[in-house]
Amino acid sequence: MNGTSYLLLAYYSLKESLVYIKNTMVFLLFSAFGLLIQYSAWYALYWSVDFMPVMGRSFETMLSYQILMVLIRSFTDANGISRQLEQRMVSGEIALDFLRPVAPRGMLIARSWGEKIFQMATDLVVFSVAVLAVGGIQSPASIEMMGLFLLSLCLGYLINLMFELLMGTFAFWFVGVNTLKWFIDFFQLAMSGAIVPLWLLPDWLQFCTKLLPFQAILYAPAQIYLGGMSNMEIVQTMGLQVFWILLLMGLQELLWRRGKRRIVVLGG
Amino acid sequence: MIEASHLCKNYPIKNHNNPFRKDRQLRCAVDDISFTVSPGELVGYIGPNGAGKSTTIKMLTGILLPDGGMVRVDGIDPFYQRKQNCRKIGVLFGQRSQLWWHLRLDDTYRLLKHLYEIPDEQYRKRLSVLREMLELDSFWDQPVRQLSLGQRMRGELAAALLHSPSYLYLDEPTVGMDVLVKERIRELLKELNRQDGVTILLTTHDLEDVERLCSRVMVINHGKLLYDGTMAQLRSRCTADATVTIDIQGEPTIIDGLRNFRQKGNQITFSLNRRLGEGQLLAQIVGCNHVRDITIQEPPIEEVVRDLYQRSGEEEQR
Repeated sequence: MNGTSYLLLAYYSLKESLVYIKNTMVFLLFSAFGLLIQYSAWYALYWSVDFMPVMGRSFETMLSYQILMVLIRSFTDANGISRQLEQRMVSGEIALDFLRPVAPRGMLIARSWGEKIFQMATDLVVFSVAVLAVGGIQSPASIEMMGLFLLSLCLGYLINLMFELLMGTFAFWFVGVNTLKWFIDFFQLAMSGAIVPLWLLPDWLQFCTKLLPFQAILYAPAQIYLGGMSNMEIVQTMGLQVFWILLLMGLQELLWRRGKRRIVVLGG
Repeated sequence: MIEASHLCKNYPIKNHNNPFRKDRQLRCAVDDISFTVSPGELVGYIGPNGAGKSTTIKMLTGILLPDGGMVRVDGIDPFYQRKQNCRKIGVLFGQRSQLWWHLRLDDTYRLLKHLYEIPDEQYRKRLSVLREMLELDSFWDQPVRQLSLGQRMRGELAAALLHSPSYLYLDEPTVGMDVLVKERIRELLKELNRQDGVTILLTTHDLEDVERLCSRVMVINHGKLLYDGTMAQLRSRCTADATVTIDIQGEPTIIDGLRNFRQKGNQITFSLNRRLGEGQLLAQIVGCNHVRDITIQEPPIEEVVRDLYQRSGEEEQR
C-alpha cells in the first residue's frame, strides 16, 4: 500500500474538478430546489391532517429526515465510480491503470474521493442553509447514538461503493453499462428512502426493500439518527449492512478477476 | 530478456448492425508470434495499421491476457505478476496521454514518484536529467492542456522514463511530430539505449525511425510475423528493383533485356533485380562498355516494406 500516492490522486482529481466549478454551482441549485419541493409536499400532507403524526412520525421528524438525507446521500455517494470505470473502458484509458504498480481499483476510489470531497462541501452548504431556514432539526438521543449513526453512515458508504464497483465491473462485458445503471438508479431512488421515507410505504413494499441493499445505504443510518430503534434492532441493522458489504465485495472480486482476463483496450 | 512464444490473441468482432443478434466472429489479431529480445537491444516493430502491433505490445506489458502462448519478461509473467513487471517497464502510447490534463507536468511526475516509490534523491536527479534532455523547461509551468503535441509528447516520454525502467515499450512515439521533435526523440532513445542499456521495443509507421535507430526489425502483418532480422537482410530479401546508373565514355553499347531502360547522352539508367538473377546483365554491360562511373541505388525502405506487406496479403488470399 502506498498512502501518499492515493492522497495525491484524490488531491489532483479535486483540483481537476475545481476547473468545472460552474457545473457544481448548478448542481447546488438543483439540490436546494429539490429540497424545497419536498418540503412543500410534506407541508401539504401534514397541513391536510392538522399536523398530526402520520404513520407515527411528526412533521418535525419528517422534516429532519428529509434535510438529514441531503447529508447522508452526499456522504454515502460513490457515484462516479461505475461511470468512471465505464468511461475508462470506452476510451481505452483503462490500459494506463493496469500499467502502474498499484491496484487499479484503489486508484479509482482515490480519484473518486477528490470529486467527493468537493461535492460534500457543496452539499454541506445546502444542508446548513436548510437547517437554519427551518430553525434546527432533531438531534440523536445521545452521544453514543451519534457515534452509531456515523458508523452506520460509513457502512452505508461502503455498501454503495461496492455496488458501484460491481456495476462498473460489468463494463468488462458490456461496454455501455449506463442503461443498466439508469434502470437500477430508478429502483435505488424509490427503494432506498432517498425521496420517500420507507415508513410511508405499504408493508409488502417495505418487505421488498429489505431484500435489496439500497435501504441499508440511506435509510438505515437515518433511522439510527432519528431514534425509535431498540438496541437489538440497531445491531440487526448494522449486521445487515455488513452482510451486504461482504456479499457485494465477494461478487465484485469474482467478476473483476474474470473481467480483467477479457479486457479489451478500445481505440488502438 | 523479453520472451514471447506462440502468442495468440483473438478479438470478438461484430460484423453486423443488429443489436439483438449475439453472434460474433473471432478475428485473430495476433497469430502464433514468437521472438526474444535480449537486454540492450533496440528493436523496431513495424506493420500496417491493424497488423497486431499494439495488441502485441499490450500483451508484453501485461494489460492483455494472451489467448494462447506465453510471455516472460526476465522470467516474470507480465499479466499474473503485473505489479512486479510494472516497476521494470516504461510504456508510452503515442495516442494516449498519461498526464493530468488540467495540471502541470510537475504534478504528474510527483504522483508517479509516489506510485513507483522512487527515493527523493534519485527522483530529483532523474528529473533534472530528463528536464534537460527533453528541454521541458520552457513549458514547465503550463497546464498540460495548453501544451502543443510535440511538447506534450516530450512530457509523456519523461513520465514513462521517470522510474528508470530497464524495458521501454513505445507505441508510435513519433506520431504527429514535426521533423525537429522526431529528431530529438530519436537522439534521446539512442542515448538511453547506448548509455543506460535500456531495452527498447518501438512500433512506428515512420520507417526513418527504424532505419535510424534499430539494429533489428520485426515486421508483422495480419497478425503473423513476416520478418525478424537486420535491416540489411530485409533489403536483400526484397523483390523491388534497384536502379543502376552508369556513366560511359564514348557511345554506349546496349544489350538486350534491360528493363526501364533510359539513355541521356552518355548516361544510361535501368532497373535491376537481384532476385531475378539480373546481376548478370550488369556484368555484361560493364564488360562491353568503357565505364566511367557506376551507382546502384537500392530501393527505398518504404518500397521494401510495401513489397513485404503486399506479398503477405497475396499469400493470405491464396
